[in-house]
Amino acid sequence: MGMPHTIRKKVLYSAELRFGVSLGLLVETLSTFSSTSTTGLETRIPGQTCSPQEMGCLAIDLAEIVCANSRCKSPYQLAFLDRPIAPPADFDELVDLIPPKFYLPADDNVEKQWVFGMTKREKREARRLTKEHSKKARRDRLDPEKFVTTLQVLQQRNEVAEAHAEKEEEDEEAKAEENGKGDAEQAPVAGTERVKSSQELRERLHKRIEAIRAERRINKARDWQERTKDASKKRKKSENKTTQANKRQKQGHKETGIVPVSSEKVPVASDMEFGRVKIDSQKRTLNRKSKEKLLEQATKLQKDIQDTEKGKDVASKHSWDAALSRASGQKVFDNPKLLKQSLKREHQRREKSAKKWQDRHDSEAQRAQEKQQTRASHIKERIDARKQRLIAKREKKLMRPGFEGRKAGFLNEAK
Amino acid sequence: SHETGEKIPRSFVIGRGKLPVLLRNLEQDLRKLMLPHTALHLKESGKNTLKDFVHVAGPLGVSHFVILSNTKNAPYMKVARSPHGPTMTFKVHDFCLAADVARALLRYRAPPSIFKNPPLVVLNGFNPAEAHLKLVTIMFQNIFPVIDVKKVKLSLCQRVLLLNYDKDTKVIDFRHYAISAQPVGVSRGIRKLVQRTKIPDLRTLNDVSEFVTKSGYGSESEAENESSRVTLPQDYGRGNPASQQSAVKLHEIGPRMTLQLVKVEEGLCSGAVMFHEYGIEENKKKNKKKKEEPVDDMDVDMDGEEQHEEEEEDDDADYYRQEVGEEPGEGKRNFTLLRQVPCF
Repeated sequence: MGMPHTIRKKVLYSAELRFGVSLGLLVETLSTFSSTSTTGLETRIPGQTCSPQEMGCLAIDLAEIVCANSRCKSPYQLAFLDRPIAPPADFDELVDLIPPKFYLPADDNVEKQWVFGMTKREKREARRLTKEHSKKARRDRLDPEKFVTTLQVLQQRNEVAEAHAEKEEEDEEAKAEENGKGDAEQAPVAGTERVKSSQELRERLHKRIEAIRAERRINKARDWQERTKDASKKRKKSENKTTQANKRQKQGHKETGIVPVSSEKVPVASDMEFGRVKIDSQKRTLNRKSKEKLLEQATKLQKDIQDTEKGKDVASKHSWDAALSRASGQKVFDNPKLLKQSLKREHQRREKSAKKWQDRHDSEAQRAQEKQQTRASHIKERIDARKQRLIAKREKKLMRPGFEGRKAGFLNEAK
Repeated sequence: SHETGEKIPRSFVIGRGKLPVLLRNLEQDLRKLMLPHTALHLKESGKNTLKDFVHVAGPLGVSHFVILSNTKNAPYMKVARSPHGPTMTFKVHDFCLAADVARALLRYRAPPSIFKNPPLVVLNGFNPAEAHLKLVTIMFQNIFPVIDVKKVKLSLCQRVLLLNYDKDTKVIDFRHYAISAQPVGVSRGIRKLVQRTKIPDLRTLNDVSEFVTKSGYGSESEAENESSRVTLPQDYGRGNPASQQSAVKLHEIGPRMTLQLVKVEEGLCSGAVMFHEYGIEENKKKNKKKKEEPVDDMDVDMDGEEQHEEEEEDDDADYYRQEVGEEPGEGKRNFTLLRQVPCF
């Protein structure tokens, strides 16, 4: 065949689409009419791809061939053969050329069958129906009396749709009317019922709570009375003696061991104290007296204490002050003996460190000196060695065999 | 400490002389109380004198000593500040151990986590006008570290030490509690669900709504203490978020003691006696002796104390007879019989 494979396939498909011609038929005709050439086919160069327009022209040519040579011509084929030479001016005529299967959307009313949920019997039945339907459809298709153009089909469908739509509207209106009446009647009734019941419930709840609370209060009062009776019997004497403050204390005791923490409501008892709390950062006193001064003060204090007149007062006052400040963490230097010891220790430490420094200083100087000495001695040694070497070198020259060396002078010469 | 920049006071709790088992247990309980700034496993041998401890205390940064000793009369507890500080001697009328408290309570809970932070201190009834009472307050306030109000974490304040002074009997009640907070205004079931990690047991309920309604609206003890309700400034444990009302509850842990301040001395178990319950004049002989030989007292274990006690016994007996109307030793207050938890 002159046409390459690719063009043949494309042309065949496009022809089928446009003119509803089966593929098999096309293949047959092509094979028989291998030699015939129309204008389009001959000029085709094998391997060349066509544009869609060219494809269309090819398709029309093929269709002509097929229609002319088919045994039983379908209405489409007849229509095609009788077609006017001029292209259709009206869009509607164009539409008529396309079979409704391809032009119009699928009928929504037809439900798709769900095959997987069907039993064997159901499947058999469905298959039978489809077969019958397809047979019928084919007969209808080829029946010239039942021939309906695409436009007519479209019109029919539209009419049906309109009728359906009208019907639905009527139904909806009817429904709406019914519902409206019904709702209006029902709503208020339901609301009032609910409101009543919730109110009732709430009231009941409140009553219940109050009843429980009242019971509890009564029980508690009874217990407390019993407890106080016993307590009063035991402490009759002491209670008479105590003042208001103590009464308060005792009440605090009686409560089950819970001491009220300072809350917004209850004021703290005046004689209650808590752990040490840091509120503002207090500056450390930078005035630290020297130990000598402290010693002076301490000795003075001792003297005052030994002074018989005010000695006791001074002693007691000082001891209490010292105890309080020591308890709160401050150091109190009131013992002259200890102060002296500490001064002595300080002094000794200073001396020791001074001595150490001196020793170090001296030893360093000494070491430096030694180092220099050794250095100088080494240098000297080197020089001497060099000199010796030179002398030896000179002497070597004179150490000829048979000679003893340099002339040393006569034996009995005065040296 | 990092927060306050001040030194953290540390303590040694030691026993002097041979202590009976009960007092040794009390010593251990006191150590637990003073945690975390104390030596929990401090080893003391019979040969150690107070001087040794004082020498060691300096480098370790230990500032306070709590010394327990035993006599025929009663056990004594001394609280002193090292190395030159004042010493307060308390006579222990009654005491009971943490184990006794645990046995007495239905739900004793002292998890080890609460001992990781120092306790708070509350002192009640100590009239600051009286010098010795003032000293006691200051001493106890300074045994525990300073709290920086701005920076402190509320959830770390889990214990409290309560000291209550009774003017008439001149007795100090010493109590140790653990603090817990409970959200207010919720039923018991919901409160437990919020506060604990345990999944509630719904076996006995017919309907889930019963979980909320069964235990009643609101806690049972809610009506009791209006004064224990606080609006928390910070979160405190589970279920107690900040700025919510919570009820503060105390659970007793640790030892209970009934103390009486007997003596205040200038130095560490030495020095002049500044205050004596039964009068300095009556006990002046012993005091003078002590003043002359301050060092000896530190080296001596027990003898000094005992002699001293004999003098006191007469005064004690008279005092007892006057007040109670019974012969001393016949009543309940006998040291050897102390296993009953005193009820208040």
